[in-house]
Amino acid sequence: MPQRRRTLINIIAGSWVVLAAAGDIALNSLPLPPGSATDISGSETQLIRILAMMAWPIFLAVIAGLVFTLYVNRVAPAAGDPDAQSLRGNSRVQTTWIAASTTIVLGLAIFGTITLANDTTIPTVAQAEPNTPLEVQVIAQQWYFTYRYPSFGGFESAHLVIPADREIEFHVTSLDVTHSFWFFAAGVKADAVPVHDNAVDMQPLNIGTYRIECSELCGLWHGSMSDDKAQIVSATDFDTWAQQQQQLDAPILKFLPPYSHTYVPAPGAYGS
Amino acid sequence: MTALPQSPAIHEPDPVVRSHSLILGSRLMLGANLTAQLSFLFAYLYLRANNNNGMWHPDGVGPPPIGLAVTVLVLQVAAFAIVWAASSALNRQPVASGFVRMLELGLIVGVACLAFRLFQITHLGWTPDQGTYVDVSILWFFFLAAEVFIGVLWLVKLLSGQVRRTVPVTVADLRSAAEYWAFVTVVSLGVFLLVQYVT
Amino acid sequence: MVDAVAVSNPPAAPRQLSRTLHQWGLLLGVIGAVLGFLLGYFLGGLGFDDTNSNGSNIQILLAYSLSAVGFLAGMGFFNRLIGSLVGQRPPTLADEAYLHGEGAGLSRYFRLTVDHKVIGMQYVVMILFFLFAGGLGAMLIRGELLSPQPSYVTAESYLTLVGLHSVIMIFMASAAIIGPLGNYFVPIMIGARNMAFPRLEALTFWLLPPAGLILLSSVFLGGFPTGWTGYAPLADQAVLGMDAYLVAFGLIGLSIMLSGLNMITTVITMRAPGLRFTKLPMFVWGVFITSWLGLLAAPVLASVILMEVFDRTFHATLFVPAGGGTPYLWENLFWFFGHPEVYIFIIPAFGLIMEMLPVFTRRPLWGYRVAVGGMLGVGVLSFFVWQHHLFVSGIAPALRPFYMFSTEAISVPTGIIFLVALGTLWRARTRFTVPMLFVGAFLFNFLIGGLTGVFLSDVPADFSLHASYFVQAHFHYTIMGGEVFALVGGLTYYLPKMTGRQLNARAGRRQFWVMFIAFNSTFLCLLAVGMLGMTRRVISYQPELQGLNIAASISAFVLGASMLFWLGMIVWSLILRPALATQKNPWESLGIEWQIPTPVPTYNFDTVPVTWSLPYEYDTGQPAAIPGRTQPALAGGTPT
Repeated sequence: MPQRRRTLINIIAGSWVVLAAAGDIALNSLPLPPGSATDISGSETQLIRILAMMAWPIFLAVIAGLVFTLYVNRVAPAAGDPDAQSLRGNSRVQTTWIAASTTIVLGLAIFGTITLANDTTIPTVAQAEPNTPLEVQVIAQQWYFTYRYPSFGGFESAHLVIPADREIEFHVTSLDVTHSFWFFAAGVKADAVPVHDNAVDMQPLNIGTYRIECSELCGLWHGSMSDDKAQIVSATDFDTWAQQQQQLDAPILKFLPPYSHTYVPAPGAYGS
Repeated sequence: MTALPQSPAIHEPDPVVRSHSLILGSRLMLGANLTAQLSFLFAYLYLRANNNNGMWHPDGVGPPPIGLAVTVLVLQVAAFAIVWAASSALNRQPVASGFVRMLELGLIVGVACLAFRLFQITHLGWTPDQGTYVDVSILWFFFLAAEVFIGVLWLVKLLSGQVRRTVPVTVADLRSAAEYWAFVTVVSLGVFLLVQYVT
Repeated sequence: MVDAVAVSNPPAAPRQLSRTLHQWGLLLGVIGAVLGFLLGYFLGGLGFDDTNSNGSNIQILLAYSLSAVGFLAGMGFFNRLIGSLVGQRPPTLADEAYLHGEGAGLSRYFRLTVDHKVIGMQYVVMILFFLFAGGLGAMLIRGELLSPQPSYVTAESYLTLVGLHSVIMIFMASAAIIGPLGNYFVPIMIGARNMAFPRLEALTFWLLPPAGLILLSSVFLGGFPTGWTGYAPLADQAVLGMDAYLVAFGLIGLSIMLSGLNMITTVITMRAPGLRFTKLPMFVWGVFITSWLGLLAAPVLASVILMEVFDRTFHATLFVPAGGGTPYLWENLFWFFGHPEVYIFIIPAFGLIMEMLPVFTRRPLWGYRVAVGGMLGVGVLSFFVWQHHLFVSGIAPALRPFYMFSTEAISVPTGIIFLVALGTLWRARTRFTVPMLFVGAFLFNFLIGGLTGVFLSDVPADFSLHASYFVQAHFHYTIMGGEVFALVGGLTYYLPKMTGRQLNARAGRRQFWVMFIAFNSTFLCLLAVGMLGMTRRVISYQPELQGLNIAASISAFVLGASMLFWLGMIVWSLILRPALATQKNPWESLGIEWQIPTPVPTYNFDTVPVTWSLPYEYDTGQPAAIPGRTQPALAGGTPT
């Protein structure tokens, strides 16, 4: 019996080591979502990777523990025996467990706070001139997003276009109900709330075409409130595009409300 | 069929346990009531701090007429004081015989308080589209009116049992009712101060 | 169904008007509801200033509210109040016995009955009805999501479907374990003959059928577009179906609150002499802690619903920014209720799991005190985490680290539950019965639910995962994989006591494996689509995610079929399985509930036991208490 037991323990412990290591190696090398199109999506990916690499061995350990107790450590029923052992608790094991889980939790919280502080989504005061972030306003309404570029006369665009080399400062607001601006590849998610300016900072890294969708239930066509044509382009392409748009939009610019971080929606937006 | 007697004796609940349950249950209800009141308080202070679009307290909206508000509050305090006194009278040995009179008086004052509260709600000089100060206040007054209504109903039930000699009022019954009135009175006082002076 | 304890001479014929009316309970309730509806509709059409109010809203709201009141009046809930006003004599003991349904066969399930066991059975039927109604919604949703573009459901009906599925399931889940098993077994487990407030207990049940019907009727009023969270100002612009949501949710909140009040009072004042808090069974602890959450959180829901009603009906602007309100007010108050609410689902499941573990491991519970502490910790912390639902909402960024910490801190007390489970299994002689399989599955599923929760609690990771299918799969892992698995296991365990029939173990084992595997393959796929960027509650999604969605849908259909099979097993057991012997204790449990006869007599105990121990003394074989005896039981006696 002890021999078989030891073998089983070795098998379980060995499988745990192998599976945990294999999983973590895989997690470490796999391209996890949301990717690295921007600085924040990169750090989110990294964080999700670290959390997954912690969660996987813990998950396996608990499962191994369950298998161990249920299968290996099972006491075979024998006639006439008293029912089972009378273990009622072990304060040392309990204290260790609570201390260990508290440590993990504290560590996670501190780690998360540091990550949060590093790529803070709250825009800092404008830095020196060349680094001034490009302000892009995201205006949500049922059921589409409009983008406004205040540094180019406040023209509006139906698709998001941003340059790759500059810090971007999104200012998200809404004209009717609560929406949420989700730029998945950029790792940006910000609720669009009427008469509220929700600002998010980020630095695009990879040129490409991406998807933007609404992630807060906003009524009938919530599911269709998405756009597959959001672009991160090179700086020169962006300047060309922006100047072109500004000229095209010039005739209608004067009919748009003056640029502001929030707009007061017409009362009619709420029906009833 | 069963190991027990086939028709088990009908077990009358122990009156001591019953009165414990009643007092505890009504206090728990006050706890639940308190969280409801706190959510109104949160709404009041939160909207006041937000003042979105300058519409917390637009021009031309002032606190409700002070005379009416004070009348309601005085009636509320009086009703509570009378019910509380009746409860103490019942608790005394020997029982002061006037406690039924006091309860009746408390009921009348309570009804008057409710009537004035409803009058106040309909004569605030505001409409709900005039900003959020108005909205929270009306809703809160309405909620208080409902609380007073429940208190009045409670007194009616106690009194009718007592007067018709079907279910005499017990100490626990009256004490829970008095505690309820105390709670509503304290909340009314708080709402009065808040709505009149923390605008 | 449970047979009534045969009574040789049923209580004398009713003399009071109220008793005659009671007999027709359900029918009168329906008539009352119809009358109330018409009265409300009529009153709502009268005399409201059109510039300040919204006529049709008022009509619908009043009609629904008064129909609920009319239903309760018809059922006889106001008889005693009216009786005391018109000077009827107080109810006699015979009246009480009548109200307990003594001597009345099946009819007692269809009228106002204050026997907690009857109410428990009523809850079983209602919970199953709504579980399967909500499940049907889930099947329709998964069917629609087979294709990335709208197929057989229009966008409007899809939203209604999502809304109904979610609210029905929330409604079902908040009573799923407390309702049937809590009402049935808590008084027995604490050695009481009934609840502290039996009529209030009946009220908590009878509030729910009108709530459910009002909710379902929203289909005829255009549905509601907000899901279960009811976010304003979307709710402000919604059609009349939203009013059905508000009234129904209000009634559900009231029921949760009153049930909490009744349970807390019962556990505190009605315990048998000699039963100290340190000897309470784990299930009673779970119900007790949950009741505090319900008592303190549900009133917040009531007041926030009142605010939304005011907004919609009287042109108030509490949630409308242009008028000074803010959507954050709803989000804060709603989640202040909403987060304790999700622990209202799971803490009774913790209690139930730990109640069953010792029975099947034949071991005392390993670490009773830390287990209670763990559940208490979860309950207390649940009030301090609500802002983690608002991490991306744009308010109070400075508070995020605190809510991140408090949310992650919940994994410490939850971890204790796992430790106790592992400790109890340690070197145990585990019996792999069907309920035990569900206990194991609960631990597995809830582990995944908990670990995915850590991802969501971490603010930067939440920026990517929030409001995606990852969240959806996470809470299905905790509610479906946790609570519903515990419910299925718990009903398998307790049905022999409640109905006197045992479910077929062989069929149960097969059903378990199908359910367990289908559940995991459904929601693992959904975890993946969430990480890949699929939003919740959408009818159209990225075409490249179709493969995973099809896999999830097919698994979900298998899961649905396995649940239907389980329902069939229950019906089968009632019709075709032989009744167990009166004293049969099929799991050889030491709990007091298994020491009394089946069916349980109306007043549970002839003599209330006074000597109590924990019901987990499997090493000595000492039952929790021995009914019918006031002397201390001899140690070492085994139950039969």
